[in-house]
Amino acid sequence: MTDSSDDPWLTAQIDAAVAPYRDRLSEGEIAWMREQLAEVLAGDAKAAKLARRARPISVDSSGEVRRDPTGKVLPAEASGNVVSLRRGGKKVG
Amino acid sequence: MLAEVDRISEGMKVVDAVAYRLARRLGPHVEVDELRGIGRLALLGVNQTYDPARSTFAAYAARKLKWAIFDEVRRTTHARSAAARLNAVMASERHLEQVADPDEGGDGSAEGFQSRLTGLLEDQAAALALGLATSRGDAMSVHDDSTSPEEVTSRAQVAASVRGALSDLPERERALVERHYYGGEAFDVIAEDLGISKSWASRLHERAIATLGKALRDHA
Repeated sequence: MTDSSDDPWLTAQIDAAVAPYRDRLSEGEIAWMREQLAEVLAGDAKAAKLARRARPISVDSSGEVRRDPTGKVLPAEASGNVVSLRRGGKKVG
Repeated sequence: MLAEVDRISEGMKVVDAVAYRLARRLGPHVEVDELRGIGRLALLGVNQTYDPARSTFAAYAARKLKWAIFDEVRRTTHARSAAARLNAVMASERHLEQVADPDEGGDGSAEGFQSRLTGLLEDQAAALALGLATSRGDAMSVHDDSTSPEEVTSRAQVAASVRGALSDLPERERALVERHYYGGEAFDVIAEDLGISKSWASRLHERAIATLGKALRDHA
């Protein structure tokens, strides 16, 4: 079963969808419903694509590093923080 | 003949993909190998009914195999909790089949995609709630240890909410939901009986889920 707990944005989307049922279903069934929605977003091609399109653009570190001519990774201060715009895990700017 | 052999070979991969996906959704009470076995048996029939003019074999097989596996698992599932969850997953999958490709329609804006995602998740939650609340009568008669008294009570509350919301549905949508979810009738049989195509019945189902979901949220 897919776990969305390490993705705050996805977790928020799922939490909002199950919120109307919190007082009507047991905790176990709410947890199961959350797992099902996470699985839909991970396993259904159209739902997964929609989630990627809907994910807001965020500014974060690209994870790129600079290396010296010998291939050694330079420290962050030397390479500077490379900042990129991302949507759905893809660099857009 | 070669095309048929190729299709079976392609179909075996589809069987595996469908079985693994359904196993993830249905949880530990089903074995993926069991689902693969059901799928492989169904594949021969799927190959015989395939019409190349209508869709790719992979797309056709994925849909047919999914429902063949669901039907067989449903036939052999009698424990109340497992039957309710199976019913819910089937409602969710039926709704997913009507979801449009995100790149078709819409204005392509971030807000538009967010709105569609919110709608999809709301409808999916409603489909799951509907499935949980309307498990078949024969399955409901078999108790199992995995259903807590709290779940029995909460399901009864949701069932009452769903019953109330159903009365507001247009006649054909209500008939479709009642006969399929409460009566256990096959979807295509109901469609034929109502004098509508299966694809139109699926659209009615999608609309019914959206209306039920809104009613359940409004009365939360």
